[in-house]
Amino acid sequence: MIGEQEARKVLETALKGGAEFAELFFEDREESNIKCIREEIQGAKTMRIYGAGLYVISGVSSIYVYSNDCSFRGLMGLAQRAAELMAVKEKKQAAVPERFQGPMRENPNPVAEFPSAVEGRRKIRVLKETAKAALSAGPEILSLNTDYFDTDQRIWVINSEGLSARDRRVTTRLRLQTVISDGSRSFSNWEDYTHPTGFEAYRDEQAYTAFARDMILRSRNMMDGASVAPCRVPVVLEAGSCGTLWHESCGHSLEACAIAAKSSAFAGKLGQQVASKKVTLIDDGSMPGLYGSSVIDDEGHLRQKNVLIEQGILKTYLCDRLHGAMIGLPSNGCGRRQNYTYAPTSRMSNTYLAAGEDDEEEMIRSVPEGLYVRSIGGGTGGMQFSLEVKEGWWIKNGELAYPVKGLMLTGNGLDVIKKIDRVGKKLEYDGGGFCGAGSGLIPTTTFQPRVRIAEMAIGG
Amino acid sequence: MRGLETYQRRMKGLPAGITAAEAEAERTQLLSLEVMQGENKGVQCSDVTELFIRVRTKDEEGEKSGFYYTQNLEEDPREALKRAAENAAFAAKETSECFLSPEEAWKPSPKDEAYTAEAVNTREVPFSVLEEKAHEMEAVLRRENPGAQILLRLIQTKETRGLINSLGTEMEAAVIRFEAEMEFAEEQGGVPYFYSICQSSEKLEDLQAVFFLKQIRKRRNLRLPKGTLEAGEYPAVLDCETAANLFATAWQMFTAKNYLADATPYAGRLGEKVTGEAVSIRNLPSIPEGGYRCVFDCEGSGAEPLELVKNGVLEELMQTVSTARAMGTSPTGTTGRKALLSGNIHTDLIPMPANFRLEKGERETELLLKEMGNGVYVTESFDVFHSINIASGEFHVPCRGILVENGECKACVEGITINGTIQDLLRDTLEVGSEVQVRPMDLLKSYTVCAPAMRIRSLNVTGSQS
Repeated sequence: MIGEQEARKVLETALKGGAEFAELFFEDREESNIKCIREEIQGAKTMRIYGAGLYVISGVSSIYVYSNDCSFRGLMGLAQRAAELMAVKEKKQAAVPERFQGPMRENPNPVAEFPSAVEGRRKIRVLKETAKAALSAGPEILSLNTDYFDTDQRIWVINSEGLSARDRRVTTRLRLQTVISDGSRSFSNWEDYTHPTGFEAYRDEQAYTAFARDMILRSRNMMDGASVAPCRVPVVLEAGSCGTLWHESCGHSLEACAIAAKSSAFAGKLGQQVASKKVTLIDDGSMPGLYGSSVIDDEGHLRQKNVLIEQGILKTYLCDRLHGAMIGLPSNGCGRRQNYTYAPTSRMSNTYLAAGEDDEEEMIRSVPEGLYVRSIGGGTGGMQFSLEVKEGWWIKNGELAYPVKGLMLTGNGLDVIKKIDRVGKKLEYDGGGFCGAGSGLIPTTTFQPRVRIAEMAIGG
Repeated sequence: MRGLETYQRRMKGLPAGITAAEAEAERTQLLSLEVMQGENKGVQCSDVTELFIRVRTKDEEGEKSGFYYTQNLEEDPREALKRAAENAAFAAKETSECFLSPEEAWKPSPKDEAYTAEAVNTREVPFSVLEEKAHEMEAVLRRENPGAQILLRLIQTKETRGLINSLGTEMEAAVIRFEAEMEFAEEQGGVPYFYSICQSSEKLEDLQAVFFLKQIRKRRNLRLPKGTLEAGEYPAVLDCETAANLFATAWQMFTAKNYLADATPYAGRLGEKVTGEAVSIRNLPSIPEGGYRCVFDCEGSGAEPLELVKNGVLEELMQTVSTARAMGTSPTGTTGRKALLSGNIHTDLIPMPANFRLEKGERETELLLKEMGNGVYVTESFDVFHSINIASGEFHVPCRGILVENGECKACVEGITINGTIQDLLRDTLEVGSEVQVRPMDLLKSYTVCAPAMRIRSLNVTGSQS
């Protein structure tokens, strides 16, 4: 890996085309994966992602060049290529300062035990305990694959404004994939047990084995659930990971790249009432202990708390440097990417609905007939969003009556967030997962207190 | 090729404990340009080589397999092989990686002369040519669509794959493709519309603005007054876009891996009639409608056309070397790694299509609608990845559609969900259309799924939301 003064030369060369900003993003990431089928270890893999991206911006035009040749010579080649490709009408070539400095802040996800320092047999023990717990949950398991993953990503961002910032992001994860059967039907399901920490995440055996057992029981409920006739009813979404509602119904549409592309219904609505007054929606990449957090974003900007919607009024968008510039807003620490092969773009981190003042029990008790959603699978966002109900129950006379299956919640984001009529007092977190969009798959969380949508058309 | 030179020597003298080894290199060189309002908005250029190293080891516990992946080409090959061998030690039972000998592996034939690195280099275009083409297409699209916001992206992708192993197998091939992607936004009557449309080809000159103009026209014609639909069973036509979206997930039901694991409803049904006669499904190394091509797969098996379903009968499955050995058949050139989005680097060898294609029929979609008479024309689907269960075939897919009366499109219905199983849907397919939608696999762009419109006898539809 090159040093600061060599990086400075690369940035200077990249700016020779006349652009006003250049940035180098270096990544060196190690991943490991151990695979277990039923209770038998199948093998281990290690991976090394290594490369650099050079980002050059002039106004709202950009060049992104990247390679896994991180030698000074290789990077100078990239810089010369970038300078050639930059067709600048009015040259505003920036001068790169002699000295660089970076923001200082404690890592929101400190690591006690780096996975690379943990012996393989300890990881294997966790895998086997997890698999054993899952297999003990029911005789109907046709197949069970359990994977252990860890990642250790080290990045360095250095730019022509004199910023030089480094960050280290460590995560660990268990993935369970199962096919269950009752003899006549098969059903597949997968779930992740994620942590933005080192191997200390597995000190509590009870926590991960309970997750494994519950995952099998949830799968069984999903297979056995009753179908629901289409109808229009109140929908109660449980606290915690059902916050995916916000990620899909609003989050993607609040990204500056969607506003700039005019693919968002929130474009041009800053300062307007866009949701129920009970809705205060926040994205915060600096929260300790969450999967979407880090010290800096992938452009070297310190992560921060962004209040997107406050009491129903649209306050701001999620901005990276380039797309923020396109809509006239500065970056607010939301420039993210899966790795160096993607240019950064505006993305969510930890998106959540702030706690309200409503009674959680009353939300269900007061519903004569409706849907209670305990967990949501994945979904897609945009003007029209859709969410898979992973675990749902039918509410009858204010009580959970029986499990239901095969439901999708679909709707228009702007319509649904106006119909929030209850927001609970207790905010619960989400373990986290991945969001896939324009700059790849990135770790995110999305959570909420228990909420109620006054009415929604459902069916499956 | 780049990345493999240093491994060639090492394959002849493997480190102690390693009985066989293989190194596969995948190099992707990309050049892309975005044009908007006659100006260059964004340019991307890259050159990345990935190395996938597999080894077979032998110790007192028996034969085992190990794997290591790296993008750091400066790493000493000996150390990389050792890291793979260290990983083999974790395998609890005897496992044996399958490597192909030179006799079993792909061998270039005269038709493959076009896919040498040298031949592909001659088809590569410089940035200036790509830029000129992008501006020309964008200018036409802008002129024909005043008031719309249009972003056009042209991409040149050159992929080189090389594979060497200690059995003496050695191969290399390269492919090139060009893609045009258009993001189109406009408002009509206060309603915003946004479309993302793409076209690909092995030749830059095949990419034409007229393709996009036709797609825009087609979508505009579907902007009808809102209607309502009661839940129920309806005759239906799935537009080619909806059909391709369904197969973007459902292709996994045709892999030997899921067949052997009982994780597809087609398990145990090879040779049986499983769909309507109108359905024939193939996996093809290349297609006339798009630029995606596979010469040999990640294990070195040559890619050949594969009949998965022929006139309703399940004929073959997509195999890897290991599934083929388990089933006593031959590999089918369909081993890949980058099948589905994942938060981690794709390293598992799994069956994966090159161009998974529901074969087209004779008649245009309009005639399929006429034939249907009354029913629902499902024009768009959302969220296919989360709403199809591969093991059971069950799906509940959110969609948008059009009410059809006497073969005429009458009203638009929003927020509908189509429900059922893929097995029933394919069994009830009466006819397929003549226009094929090619859908490249989202972010990974490692294969395509292609389908024409499908006329379905009866489909369960959850009613519309107002």
